[in-house]
Amino acid sequence: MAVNEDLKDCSDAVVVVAISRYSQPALAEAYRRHAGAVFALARRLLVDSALAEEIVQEVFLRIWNQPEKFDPERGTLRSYLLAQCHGRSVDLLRSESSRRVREERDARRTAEDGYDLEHEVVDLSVAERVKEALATLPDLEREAIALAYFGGHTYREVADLLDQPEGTVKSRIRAGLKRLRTELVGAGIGGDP
Amino acid sequence: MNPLAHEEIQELLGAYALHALDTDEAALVEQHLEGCPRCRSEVAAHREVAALLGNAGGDAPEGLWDRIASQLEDAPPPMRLAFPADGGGPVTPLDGRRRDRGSRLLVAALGAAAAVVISVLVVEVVRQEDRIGELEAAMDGSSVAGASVVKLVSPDGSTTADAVLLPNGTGYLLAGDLPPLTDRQTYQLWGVTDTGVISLGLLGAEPGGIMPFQTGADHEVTALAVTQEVAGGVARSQNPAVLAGELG
Repeated sequence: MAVNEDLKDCSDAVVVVAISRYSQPALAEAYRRHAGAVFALARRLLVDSALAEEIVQEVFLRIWNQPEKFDPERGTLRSYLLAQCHGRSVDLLRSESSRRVREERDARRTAEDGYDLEHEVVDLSVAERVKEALATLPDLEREAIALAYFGGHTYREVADLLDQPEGTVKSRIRAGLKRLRTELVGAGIGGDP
Repeated sequence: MNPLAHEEIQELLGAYALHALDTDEAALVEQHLEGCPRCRSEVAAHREVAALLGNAGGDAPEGLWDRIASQLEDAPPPMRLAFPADGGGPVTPLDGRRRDRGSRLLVAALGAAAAVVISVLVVEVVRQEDRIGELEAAMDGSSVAGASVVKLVSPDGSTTADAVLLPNGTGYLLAGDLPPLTDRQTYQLWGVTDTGVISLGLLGAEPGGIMPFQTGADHEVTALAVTQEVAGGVARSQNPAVLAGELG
């Protein structure tokens, strides 16, 4: 991979500006920094390495073709790429032609630990603090977020799965994300609340 | 579906950030977000949290980068840097291999604008002499001789700006005629180069005085343009040029 040494110390925002100038080494640098996380999230959602690789390709070709979609004032490049990855993975799971993918995925998942959110977070430096923040959530908030984010379910599906009113699930997802943010900012992770 | 009230939309923002809405509801939220910075900010905050949850370690598979790189042979779609339709049609500066076509379109658009400009040229000559004097003063007494002089013109010819570009890549822009924008907007200066369109910097919501800029030694700039963008600027503009001009 042709990573430019000069880019290694640059911020993500500078790297994206270089991408907008057709710099392939800049895209390679963005890939070096974030492709592992993007691949891991796609594989977690799809439980299929080949499909996850397709998602990674899509995500990085999208930042190459449309770098202006990334707004550094509204979040980090990592969160932008992961949101792109999550959206495309969920689209794939929900598409008619991929219903089989979901069924196969769910079948494979039965051999795993289910949707235990605390076991989903395996990042290196922040994992412990994220786990601590998750532990502060009421069970329903944690389960609703896990089923929506890692299960790729709509909140209506989550309501069915948890046998709760749709309005309750909708509110709990939002409240849980807000609570997590407050906890994580308090732990020195993330931005201003 | 009918638009939802602000409070109803707010309740959906967590699920929206996790891609957990049905298509119809997601469309309603997106429609609302276009005009609601507060909700956009909340979605961004939720997505930062989600990214921390999904931020797993590990490496991407070997060989995946090579497959991506093999698809980058063609340059991405060029940035649109177009005059409005009534200003002579789209102007689309392209990357190096296609730049001839882009330059031709730019010249055509400038030609259309020039027909309007000519009626105010008599006044403009005097104004431009004054501006060049100001620019020379800004250049520590250096003469504009040997430098490229650019006159930037709006599509209807009503607004102009002047710039000089020195051989070392330093440029100076005087664009005091541009109407002020809101706090959430900025003017952005662009250079058309042999490798595409590059940002040369933000001019702010109310450009005034002499504004220096750098094109960098690696870029041969053939034209300048100014667009109107959101505050903070953009990596690549989708907006039409409010001013544009080729190097003389």
